[in-house]
Amino acid sequence: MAFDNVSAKSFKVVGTRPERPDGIEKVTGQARFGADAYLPGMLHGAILRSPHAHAKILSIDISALENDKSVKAVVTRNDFECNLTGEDWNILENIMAGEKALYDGHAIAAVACSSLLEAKDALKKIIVQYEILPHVTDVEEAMKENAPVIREGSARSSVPKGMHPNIVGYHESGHGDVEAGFKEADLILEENFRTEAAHQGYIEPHACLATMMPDGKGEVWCCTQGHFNVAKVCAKLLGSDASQIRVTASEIGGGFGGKTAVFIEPVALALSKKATHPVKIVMSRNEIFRATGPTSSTSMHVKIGMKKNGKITAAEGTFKLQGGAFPGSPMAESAMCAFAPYELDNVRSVGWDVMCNRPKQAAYRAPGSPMAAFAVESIIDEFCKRLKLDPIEVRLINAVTEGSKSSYGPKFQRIGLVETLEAAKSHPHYAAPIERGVGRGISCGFWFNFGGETCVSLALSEDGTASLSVGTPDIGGSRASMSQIVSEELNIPYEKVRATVADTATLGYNEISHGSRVTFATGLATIKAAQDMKKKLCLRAAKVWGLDEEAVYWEEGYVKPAGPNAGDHEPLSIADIAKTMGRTGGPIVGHYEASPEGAGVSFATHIVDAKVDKETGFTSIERYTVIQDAGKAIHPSYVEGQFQGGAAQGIGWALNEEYIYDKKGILQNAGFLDYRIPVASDLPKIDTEIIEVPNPGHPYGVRGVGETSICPPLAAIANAVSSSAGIRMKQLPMSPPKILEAMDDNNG
Amino acid sequence: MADVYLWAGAKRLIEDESPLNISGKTVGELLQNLVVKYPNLKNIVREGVSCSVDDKLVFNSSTETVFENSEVYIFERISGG
Amino acid sequence: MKYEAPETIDQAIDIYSKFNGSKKILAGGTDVLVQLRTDIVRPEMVMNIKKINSLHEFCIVDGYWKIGAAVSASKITKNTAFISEWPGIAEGVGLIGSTQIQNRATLVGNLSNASPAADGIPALVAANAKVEIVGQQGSRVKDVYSLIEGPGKLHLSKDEFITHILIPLQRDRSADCYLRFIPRTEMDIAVVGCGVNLSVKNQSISSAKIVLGAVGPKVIFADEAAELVLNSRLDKDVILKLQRMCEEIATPISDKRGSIRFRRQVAGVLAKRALQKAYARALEVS
Ligand SMILES: Cc1cc2nc3c(=O)[nH]c(=O)nc-3n(C[C@H](O)[C@H](O)[C@H](O)COP(=O)(O)OP(=O)(O)OC[C@H]3O[C@@H](n4cnc5c(N)ncnc54)[C@H](O)[C@@H]3O)c2cc1C
Repeated sequence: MAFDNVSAKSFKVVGTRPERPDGIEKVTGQARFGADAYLPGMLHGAILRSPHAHAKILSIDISALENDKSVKAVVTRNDFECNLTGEDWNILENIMAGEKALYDGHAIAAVACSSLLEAKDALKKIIVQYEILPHVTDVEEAMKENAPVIREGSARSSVPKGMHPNIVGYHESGHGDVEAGFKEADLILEENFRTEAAHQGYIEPHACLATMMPDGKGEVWCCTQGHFNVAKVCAKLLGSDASQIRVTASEIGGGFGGKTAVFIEPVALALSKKATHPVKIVMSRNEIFRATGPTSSTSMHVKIGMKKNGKITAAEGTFKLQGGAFPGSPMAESAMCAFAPYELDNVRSVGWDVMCNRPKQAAYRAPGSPMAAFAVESIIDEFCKRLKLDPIEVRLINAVTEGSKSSYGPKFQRIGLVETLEAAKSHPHYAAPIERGVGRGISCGFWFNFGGETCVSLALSEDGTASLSVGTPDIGGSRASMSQIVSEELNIPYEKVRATVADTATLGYNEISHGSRVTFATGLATIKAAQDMKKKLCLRAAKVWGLDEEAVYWEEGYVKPAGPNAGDHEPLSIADIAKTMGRTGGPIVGHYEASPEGAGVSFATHIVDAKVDKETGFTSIERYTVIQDAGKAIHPSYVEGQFQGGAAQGIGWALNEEYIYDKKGILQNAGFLDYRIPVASDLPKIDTEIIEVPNPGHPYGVRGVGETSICPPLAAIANAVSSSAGIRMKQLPMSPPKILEAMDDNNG
Repeated sequence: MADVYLWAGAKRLIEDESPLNISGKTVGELLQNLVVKYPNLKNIVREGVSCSVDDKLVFNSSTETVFENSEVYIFERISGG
Repeated sequence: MKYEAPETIDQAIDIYSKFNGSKKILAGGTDVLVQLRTDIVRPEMVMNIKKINSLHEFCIVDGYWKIGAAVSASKITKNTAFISEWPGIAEGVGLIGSTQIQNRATLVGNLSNASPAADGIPALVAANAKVEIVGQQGSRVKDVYSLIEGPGKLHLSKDEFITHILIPLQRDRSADCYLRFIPRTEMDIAVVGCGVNLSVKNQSISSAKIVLGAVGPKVIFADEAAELVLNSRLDKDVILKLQRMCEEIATPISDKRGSIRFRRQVAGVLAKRALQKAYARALEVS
């Protein structure tokens, strides 16, 4: 029985749109999110945060709390493990300051009290003496010779000698000879671009409920994209064992990469350990903006040379990203994704990772790629205008296909960029006439997608139904698509499968739900677990019939005897085998655990119509179309949702979202009133088209879809806005004041 | 011996021109041998790299098979959101 | 924190005036509850006024539209008689927050919160609206403009609160309009607001009030700009002058919501557009 290479070519359940299994709980408000957990004797934790952008912590005086009966526990940095190195140390330093406060909102101490109000009042009684230090929040400023140093010795070994200590990472990739390539060009364009930090803007705040017993046993309930990682990080930061800390992931109200990081769980555990009571911490929106990670702000330079016919002869880009007060900005990703859609003989990409007095950046959908696409695709658009070329044709002329050498090194396997461009060309949106005052923008985008550690367990119930345990929090509908996969493989109805996100004590380690990996990796594991189960079902039937394994086979939900020699047995359904499994050998469970490689990269093309009110600078998005290669869409509605979500978040990032710091480095807009994510009425109906060019690395052809959709919007919208406003917008966000300013500057 | 290509930033740390000829039956072995031959690359490899083996992206696995004539590209480790 | 919910005005006056500590009136609570939760205010007593029947009045009395302090924004934006008479005031109220917010929020609360960016205020001021105030000493009437002292502050003594808004009936051949500018389409705070109330005679503007919001500590009467448009039919040159004049009259600050330059520019644009809209409406009713 060779199940390993079975790939269902024609699907029965995969590709349909069954109802979501978490729907009723969510629409009736009964789904339990991070803040919805309660325990007897539970305390409330609150965190004191630095009011300064950069300051030495001279002393933390908690004596006023010592006789305060309402205060059950106080923790500072001293209550955490002190021998950490590398990223573990960075995480600790970020969630509880050591010698210095590194940004406005940096955690300094935490308390636990019976009520939140008491906890907030207790914080006011902690006296912290600071020595205020000079600060820097701008990426270009932070690289200058006289810029205040965030932390000496943070640079990775890739950084050339003699750079400012705030420059902590250097990347360079490419091939060919760009200088020679530029000589061949008929036209060369180069430009500087800037983008501001954008927050993932998940509606649910970070929240957790943690218990730590004196014997070191811990329990955590929290909203996260990766509860196994939470257990690992908590164990390290508290000097405990990962297996002793059991973490359960709640329902999640958005993450978009931002909930791959850990902020409050170790603090709640440390408080609980001291108070010997459960401690709950829920971040306020103000804390989320000041102390959790947005994506990097950037300063970029891109130079491209082109022939009159649209063929690119050379491309060069420098991408400077600040990642807050820690190393790790996704500058290598920017540099590697920037030119990925194009087949270039001569290309060079440089990235710089820079530290600033801002919160530690966190992943945000396709980290680094959207900004780079903004710079590159804006220039390509400008070429189209100057050389009077069609924006889709120019992209088609240069587009990568299977076998093209990528700008970051290897050749592409099977990919679907050309298919998305062709679909855009023949889409009614592209054919529709452009109304007066409206601008149309096009952009492509690219993202890698990932695999990573994955482990699932598929249990058969006595009634023939199946229960799937996965270890990847469901951030985009994976319980539905995994149930579909089980249903497809086992030939049982979708409704007879229940998928659950299991806690860390139930399964082996699962990598975080990130990198668009879940449908690829957990999907692959689920297929393999189902095949494992089928194999066990066959074995069981063979045993019942007294046959060898080879004498039975699986077909459409039944185990059948293979040919006349095997005897005249009635085929056994899953339900038949399940009913008696307790007496025929025990429970039947399918497993799979691996770190699957072979994730398929993906491309998208977006079309946007935007209209700028030239008197006020207000932009309205009139029409939006997303076309993306999904490889294979397991549940098309969820895929479309991902496409639309990427576009919606891109619209916010492009038009209004930004971090505004004052002269003292204090964040001015730490709330949804002045950090403007789009509201529903800001968005047009976002049209989607799913392209399916199968990924050779997945049995069903799945690629990830969660991230690529946010790569093209910044550029596509900028191109539309620039066209409507009649000037090239080189800075994000393109908020009304910035548009008017740019128009004024342009008019002299 | 596989043909190994480094990203430009890493190439600067060694004298040799790409491709480098490195032996190894798996990605893990190959990286070990790479560092033995070019000690300057030790830190960079330790800080995290991903690669492609004959155009298949290998982000994590050190047991991925490398063949006699494989083309291996090494690039900086990337992470998703 | 003490919570009171009197059922008559007399009880309310009694409770409110006798309480000496810090106190807050709770109407819709869409400002108060947010301020409580974010620890901006921590009053010792909160008095809910929604149980007082007379504060739910919304009718015409003695030549005035009388709107009680407990009347929700949605009641105002659904009252067709009121909207056809004061479309501008209704526009301002209709811009507050969202449907959910408007089901709770009151116009009196919007006025009493006295935000420089309040959407309810400019059109009220342009309409020459008044408020009825009660306290230990009895009741008094004051016009909305002079009631506002500055950001978050009203000229009320410690024992006083507002019971009603009084809006005069609209004159013949007249109309009002309110426009605001925000970077999004809703759920946002005005970067600039502008209320206009005007009358026409023989197609020309015979009287006009232009009130700018969010470009100073309190609303600004743009009287010089209003004079410019008198006796005009809003021809191109008049409009251009008006726009420039409003840019000058505005006294905005630079902050996270926009620079001085940007706000002045938008103040001019909004004044122009609000005037044009009010003018078109007035011609329609003539
Ligand atoms: C999500 C959201 C969006 C919003 N959007 C807007 C907007 O677009 N535009 C806008 O202008 N506002 C907006 N607001 C603010 C608020 O909704 C309005 O100001 C609203 O009109 C306040 O009315 P309320 O009845 O809820 O006031 P409350 O919160 O009950 O009271 C507001 C203030 O007035 C005082 N007060 C109330 N009644 C009286 C009285 N009778 N006498 C004396 N003092 C009194 C209260 O003590 C308090 O200080 C928004 C608020 C939220 C939460």
